[in-house]
Amino acid sequence: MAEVDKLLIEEIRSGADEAWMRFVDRFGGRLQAFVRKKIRDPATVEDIVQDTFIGFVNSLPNFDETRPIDSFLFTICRFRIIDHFKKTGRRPDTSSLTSNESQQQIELPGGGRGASTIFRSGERRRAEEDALLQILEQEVALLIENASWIKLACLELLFVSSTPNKEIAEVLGLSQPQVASLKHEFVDKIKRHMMRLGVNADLFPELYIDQES
Amino acid sequence: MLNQFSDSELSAYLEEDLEAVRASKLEEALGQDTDLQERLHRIRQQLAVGEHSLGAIWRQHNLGCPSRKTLGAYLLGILPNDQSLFIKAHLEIRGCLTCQANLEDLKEQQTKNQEELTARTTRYYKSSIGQFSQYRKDH
Repeated sequence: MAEVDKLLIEEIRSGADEAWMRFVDRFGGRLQAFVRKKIRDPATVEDIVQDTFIGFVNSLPNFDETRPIDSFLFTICRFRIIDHFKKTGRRPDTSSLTSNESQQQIELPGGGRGASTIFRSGERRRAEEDALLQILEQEVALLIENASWIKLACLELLFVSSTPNKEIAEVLGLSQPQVASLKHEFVDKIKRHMMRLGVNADLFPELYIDQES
Repeated sequence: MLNQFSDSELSAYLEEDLEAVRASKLEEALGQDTDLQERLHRIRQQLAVGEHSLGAIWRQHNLGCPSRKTLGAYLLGILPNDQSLFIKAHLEIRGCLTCQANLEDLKEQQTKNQEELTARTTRYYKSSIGQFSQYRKDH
């Protein structure tokens, strides 16, 4: 977390109204823009942002300062949007993914991932995912440090949005074999890291790729 | 790509982290495709018990997301070409909603007048200060 955000959280935890005002000012606009991507009605957008701030206050005791505030806030916000769609019947049933409305605390993946109501899975699975997260964080940080932007873009499109190799090659000015090679190289690296940590890579299907891909 | 949906996208959809246009297309496809419905159901069950794919872990933790400062530099067009191409792909193809929202907010700060922005902050502050005061009492 940025130093300025850490100080802000410290002041908020000490109960300073003025710090809360700065927090709301700092994050209100981006949250509003985020909700507007899903919901058009301005009053509903405002309600959801307001609920997100309230959710943040309720979650403060569990908030882990090693994680970015943005990520934490946007996750709360997404849960609020899911709750809204559930109430209005605009999405298939996603009740298992939302916060329990009677329970005001929101617990999140990553740092704030204590005894989650949402991710109440086996400790072992959680440890494996945390290990993978740690590896991914290191690899992404290394790519950024080395300014390997095209490689980072390629890997993100492959693994996060599952964009086809052909499209990635066109957009990034690579050949399709280059895209496939970056994918194989990355998967091999991740699997080696996981093996070193004694983590079972079998749990993550993306780490098994056929020779054609 | 237009009519196919990856597991990663299905999980993003369930977590309200999929772009609205893509989400609408998915909903349209769900109405006609029972295989897709079954895949969505399977992924929902996996998420409910806390199982996440590599792609979902990457997405949920905003790995590689540019900072606000970098997004500001992108807006000004002063980043090196490769970095700019990464951000463009991140925003437009990967469709990162968090970064899209940050970029939109940065644009608004340049275009909206200060009074409007202050009024917004005041509204959110007033509607949440009660809860904040309660937190202060309890801790």
